[in-house]
Amino acid sequence: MELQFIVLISGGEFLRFIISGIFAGIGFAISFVTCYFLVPIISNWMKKRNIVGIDVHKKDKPKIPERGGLSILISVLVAASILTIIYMFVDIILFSQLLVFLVSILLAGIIGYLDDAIDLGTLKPFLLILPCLPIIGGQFIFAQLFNPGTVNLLNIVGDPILPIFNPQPVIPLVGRFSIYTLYFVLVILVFPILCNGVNMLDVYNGSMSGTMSINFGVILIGAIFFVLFGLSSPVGILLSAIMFGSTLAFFRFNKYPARVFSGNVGSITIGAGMALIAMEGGVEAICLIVLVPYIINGFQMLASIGRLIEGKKIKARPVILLKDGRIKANPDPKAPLTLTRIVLAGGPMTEKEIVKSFLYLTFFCAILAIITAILCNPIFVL
Amino acid sequence: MVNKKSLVILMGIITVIYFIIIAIVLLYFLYISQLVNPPGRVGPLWDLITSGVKLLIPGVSVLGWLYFWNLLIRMYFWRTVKTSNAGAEEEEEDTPEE
Repeated sequence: MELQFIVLISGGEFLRFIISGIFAGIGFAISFVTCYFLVPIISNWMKKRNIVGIDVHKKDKPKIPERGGLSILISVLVAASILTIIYMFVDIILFSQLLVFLVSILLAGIIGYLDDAIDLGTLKPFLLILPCLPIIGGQFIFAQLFNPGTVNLLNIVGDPILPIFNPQPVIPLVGRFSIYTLYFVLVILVFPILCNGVNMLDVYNGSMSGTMSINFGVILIGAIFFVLFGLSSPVGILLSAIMFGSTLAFFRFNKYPARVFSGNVGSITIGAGMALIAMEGGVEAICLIVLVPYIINGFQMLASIGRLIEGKKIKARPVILLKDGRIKANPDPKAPLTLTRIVLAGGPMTEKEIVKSFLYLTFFCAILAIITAILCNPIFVL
Repeated sequence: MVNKKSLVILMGIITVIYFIIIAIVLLYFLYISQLVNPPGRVGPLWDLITSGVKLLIPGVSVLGWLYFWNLLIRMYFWRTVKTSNAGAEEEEEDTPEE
C-alpha cells in the first residue's frame, strides 16, 4: 500500500509523532517495570494484613491476596507523572492532557480503593462521576489559557484550540460529527458505565487483565493510525502505551492460576484509563469496538434481569461448579445471561478454557477495531 | 477444550451486530440527517415534524438492533444448551463472585 494513503501528516506534525512514539515507548517501559516489581510487594503486604479473597472457581478454594490493582494505579501514576514533567518543556497541549489524565485516574483509583476498603455500595456510581471533573474543567481552563475569549459553557465559538478532548468524534466512513453538548453528557456518564462494565468481567483469573491488555494494545495501534491520518494528537499513543504496560505486567501475576486479584482498585483504574484514552485520544469508535465482549456481558445481564440490581442480590447464579472442577452454564431460565454463560453454552469448561475463550473473542473484536480504525481514514469518507 | 464451534458462531454473531450498526450509522449520516421539509411545507410545525422523523428513525433502528442482538444471543444460547453434551456430574456450589 502506498504510504500517501496512510501518512496524511507531514513536517512538524510527523516529527511530533516520532517524538511521541519514543516517549510512548519510555512510558510503556516505566509502567511495565514498575508494575512488575510492585505486584509481589503489594500482594505480600496484603497477605500479611489478611486482605485476601477466596478463589471460588477452584475446588480447594485458595486464599489469594486482594487489591493487587494498586500496583496498576501506582505504575500508571509514575509513568504518567514522568511524561507530564517531560512534556511541560516539550509540548504544552500534550502536557495539559497528561495532567488531566493524571488527576482523573488518581481520583478513580482512590474511589476504587475506598470501594475495596469500605464497600461504597450504591454511592459508587455517583462517586465515579468525579473523575470527569478534571476533564471538563481542564477543557475550559486550558482553552481559556491557550485561546482566551473563545470558549463558553455549551458551545465552542469560532475555531479555538480544544486542548483536552474534541467533542466531534470520528465516525468510520463519515468523518467528524459534531455533538458538542451531548458529548459533555457522555463525558459525565462514561466513567460509571465503563468502570462498572470492566469490573463485571473481572470474575476469573486473568479474564479482565488479559482482555484489557489486548484492548490497550489494539487501541495503541489505532491511535497510531489516527495520528498518521491527522485525526488526533499523539496523546492517545502515550496514554495507551502506559496502560498497556501496566496491564500486561499485572496479567503475568493474575493469569491462571492467579497469585493476586486486582480488586475494585484495579478494575476501576483500568476502566477510567480506557475512558480517558477514548476521549483525550479521540479514539471513541475503536474503544467501542474492542469493548464489545464487555458490552455483551453488561447488556445481556441487564436484558435478562430486566433492571439494574447489585450482583449480590441476584438469586440464580449464572454458572455451577462441577465436582471435577469444570464450570457449567446454569440451565435455570432465571439466571442472568452473562458472557460466561453464553460461552459455556457448548458445554462445561475449566476456568482456564473460559478465559482463553474470552481472549479469543477479544482478539477477534481487536481485528474489527483495526478495520474500524482504517475506515476512519479521511480518504474513505463517503 | 475450548469449544471452537461455539466461539466461531459467537464471532459470527458479533460480526453481524457490527455490520448492522455500521449500516445504521451510514443510513443516518448519508440519508436521514439530510432530510428536509416536504416541498411547499414551511413553518415551525413542519420543522418539528422533520426533526422528530430524523430522531425517530435512528432511535427505532437502534432499539430494533438491540432487540435483534438480544434475540440472536438468546436463540444461540438456548439452542446450543439443548443440543450440547452435559454429561458431567453436578455439584451444587455457589459462585458468589459472578
